[in-house]
Amino acid sequence: MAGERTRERGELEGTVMRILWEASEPLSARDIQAVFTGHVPAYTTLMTALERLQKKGDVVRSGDSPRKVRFRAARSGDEHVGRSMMTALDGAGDRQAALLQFAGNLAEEDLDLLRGAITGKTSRKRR
Amino acid sequence: MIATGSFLAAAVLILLFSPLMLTAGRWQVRRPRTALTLWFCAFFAGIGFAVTSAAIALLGAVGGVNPASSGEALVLTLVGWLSLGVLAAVIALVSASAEPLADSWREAVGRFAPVAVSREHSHGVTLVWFDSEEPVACAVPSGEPEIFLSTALKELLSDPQLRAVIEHERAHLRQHHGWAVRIAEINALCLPKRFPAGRALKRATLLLIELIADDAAARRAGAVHLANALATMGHNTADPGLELRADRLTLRRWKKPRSQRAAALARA
Repeated sequence: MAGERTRERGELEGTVMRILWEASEPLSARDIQAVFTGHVPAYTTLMTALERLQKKGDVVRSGDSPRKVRFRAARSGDEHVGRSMMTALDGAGDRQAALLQFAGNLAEEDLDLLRGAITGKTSRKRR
Repeated sequence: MIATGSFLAAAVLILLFSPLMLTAGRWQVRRPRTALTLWFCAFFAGIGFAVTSAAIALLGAVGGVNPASSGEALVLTLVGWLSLGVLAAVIALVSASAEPLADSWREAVGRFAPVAVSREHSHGVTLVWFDSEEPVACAVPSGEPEIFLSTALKELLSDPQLRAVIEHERAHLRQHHGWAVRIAEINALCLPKRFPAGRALKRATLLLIELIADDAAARRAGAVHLANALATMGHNTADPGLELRADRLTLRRWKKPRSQRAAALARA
């Protein structure tokens, strides 16, 4: 749970979506990374976020070879926000104070902490 | 002057070392309520020490304390007025950051209200159903607490699983988690980014309130139903956090939910 390099998962995904909505053409992960100001996410963290957005159907991936892989938003920003309440919530980073959502509030480091606690306890039980 | 310095040093020590101590190990996953209590004890203790330090310095500056020498009098005056300046800056920062959060709350609630398809009252809380293709549940803490639930959630989950999700959200409202998150948000906005304590408190709060609400819902509605709801939603939304929370519930022994125990007593 410690660390300065933290960024809530919903916040990162929201920022990525905003970058893709504003782009006129599909972007590579490196292009997206270059747009970030201030805290720049690690490449692997960014790829994880893009894969998750792809699974949700929010991002479309194109290109076969790793160097040519590009990402674009599946829908425009307006369509996206209108599509579901969840997406509308993801679009703003500071609404957690207002709405206590059942899902989507945990950062990558928290997931690692949970994984560690679960596997640690499971392995102790097996011994 | 020694007292001012001591209280200030205690506040700085808490600011620097409490995140390190409270995030050591993984015990907080097993004891989320204890962990959150310790986080907020450290937070309020830090605030208390800082305010006490400033108050003593101010007292010295306005003549409430007799300085031993003219040099000490000068230092006390400078520290006193400096403390007053810092206090004013913090109050201004808190006011400035609290207002956008309140706006954000109004905007978020405003987005939900027009799409509500039905409302029902249940144990002091209004359940608001809204039309959406995605399974969503969230609690809105306010004067009239509401839990917003999407129609997709009803289709995805069984009735006992749905009850477990509602109990999770109800736990957020009952235990005033909204306030904990707001305090953590404002703290993160006020502290410079070089201090990990600001973001660490916010992140710890967001994680721990979920685990606390999970535990409360598991006790009231049944751990199996909540774990199944988490796993189903995790599978549906590709959110690994939900499946991990489901796994966490399976690692602990749970008593039967209160409703089942009451039914068993009635049968006996």
